[in-house]
Amino acid sequence: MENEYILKIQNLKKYFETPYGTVRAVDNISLKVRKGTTMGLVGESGSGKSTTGHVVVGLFPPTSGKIFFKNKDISVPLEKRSKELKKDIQMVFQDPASSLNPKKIIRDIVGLPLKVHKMVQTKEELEEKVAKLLEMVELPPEDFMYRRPVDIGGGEKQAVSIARAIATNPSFVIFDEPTSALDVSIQAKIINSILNIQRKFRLTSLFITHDLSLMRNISSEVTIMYLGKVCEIAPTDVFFQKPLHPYTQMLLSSVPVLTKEEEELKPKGIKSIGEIGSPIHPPSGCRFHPRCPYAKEICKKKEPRLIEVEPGHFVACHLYAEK
Amino acid sequence: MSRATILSEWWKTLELKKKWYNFSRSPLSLIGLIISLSTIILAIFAPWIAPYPEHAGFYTDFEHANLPPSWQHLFGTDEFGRDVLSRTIFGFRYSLMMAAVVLTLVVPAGVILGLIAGYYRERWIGKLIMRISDIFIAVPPLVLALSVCSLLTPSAFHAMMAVSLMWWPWYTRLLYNVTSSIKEEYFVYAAKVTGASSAHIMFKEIFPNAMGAVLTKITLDVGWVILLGASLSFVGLGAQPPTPDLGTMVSDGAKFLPDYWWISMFPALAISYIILGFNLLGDGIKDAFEG
Repeated sequence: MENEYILKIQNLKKYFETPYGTVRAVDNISLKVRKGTTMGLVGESGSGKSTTGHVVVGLFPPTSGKIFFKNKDISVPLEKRSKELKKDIQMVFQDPASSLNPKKIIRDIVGLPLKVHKMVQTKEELEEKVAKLLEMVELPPEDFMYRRPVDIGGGEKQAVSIARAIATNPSFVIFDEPTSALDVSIQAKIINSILNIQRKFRLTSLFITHDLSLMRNISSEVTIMYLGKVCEIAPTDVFFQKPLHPYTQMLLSSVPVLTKEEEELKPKGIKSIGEIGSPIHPPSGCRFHPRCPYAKEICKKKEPRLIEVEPGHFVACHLYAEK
Repeated sequence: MSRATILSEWWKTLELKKKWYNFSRSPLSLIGLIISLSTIILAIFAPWIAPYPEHAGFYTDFEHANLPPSWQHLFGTDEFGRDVLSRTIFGFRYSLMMAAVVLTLVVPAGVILGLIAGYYRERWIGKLIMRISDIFIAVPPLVLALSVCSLLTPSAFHAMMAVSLMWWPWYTRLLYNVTSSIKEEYFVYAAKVTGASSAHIMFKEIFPNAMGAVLTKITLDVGWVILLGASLSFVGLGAQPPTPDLGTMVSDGAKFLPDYWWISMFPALAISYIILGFNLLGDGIKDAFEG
């Protein structure tokens, strides 16, 4: 059953109440992730992509909407989720510096999930398993096991984070911008170990990033988010060849390239203007209309629905509504 | 020993060495350590160190009353002819005991309440704990301790209880602040996602990060608790005569000021000595954990 959907998000909303008003971080999004694939979730800062990840792992309960994991409704607060479920869904966080407890040694950090789920009994067993996990992320176990996070580099911290996330042998892992805080030279290494692990464990994952070139290498499908809404969902190759939503085109045309050939591949005629709006007072109608070069009257008034323009390729834009 | 054990030991030693380096960088911390250790040693071995140990209790020798400092009595003698130096050395015992009793009662209670309040800050339990601690913090410590003590019969034990009663909210507040910021760190999220219990997160993930702050505060508080205890004794609500309590001694000698200045001056200096020592030590511990 290769085509089975492991994760289904339906009409998910996550609002945060703040003194300045309600922040509509995630506003009615739906998406599905197929078993064994990687869904890329792309957007600018403030588009709600990290919030989506946090809601899926249960850190925040959804304001409304449903999340189904392996056909079970998991849109409940974390305390109400079963231990089995927590074992099955893991997350790698954005900031490697804050994702490891500075007071613990690496062995205990990576070993925590093993202990919580009673996968090890003795200290020897723990060390043996942790060593295997560290090897998987290319960290020499003896060198790292007894060190503290302050004694290792940013890339190594992120590798430890990944080792911890796969410790319980989960079937679904959310990667929240795992490389955004790292040096370019280290990014490639981390991406490689993620790719290796995905292959080895046949992981399904949600890969959150704002780096489009990275998305091309790692994901099989891409979802574009803007101000808490989904703009476009497409298989990765289609996405890069035939981006439909003006926002997607804008993102792709702002990717820096080196050669002329690459330049020619990029969609033409869209310049990046303005910045992402406020999630407290989002623009009316289509949230992208203030920045959209094709904006029409209808875009200010009516919110476009997500429609399937071709199999597997969804877009939420009035330009494609009549077709 | 396996290679793993050796490595693990090696990293642990390195950790300690780093802390010691940060601590010893400042000579003031070392002075603080020496002063604090000296008071502790004097307190423990008082009966052997004090030149006239019998002067610590009921003892009168009116022939030698109110003698100024001399080679026989370095700090002079008081109105009953007791050696002030011996009584001051025994005074360290009572002062440090006061601090030890108060802090062993206060720290665990304050820390646990603070962890709970910070971890559940949005829930009623967290709010309740913090509102109660606010009430205690709003009243000046000496006033509160004085009023509690005056309700009870004056004794060293009641003074300790009164000081403990008003001291826990500071630990609760400290832990509340640390916990509410650390609980938003990703490593806490990671522990939650993987299914670790709230108790594990509070005590094993968050608390170790507050250790430095707690140890620093304990060390600094030794001085302040002693000062408050001495203040209570000074107004007669703490340890009762003839207990050689530093506060009581200052108060007893006060009536003979300025003529027989040594009777209250030396115990007063002794109080300053303890407070200075533990304050410097506290700063050093802070450096060790933060540096």
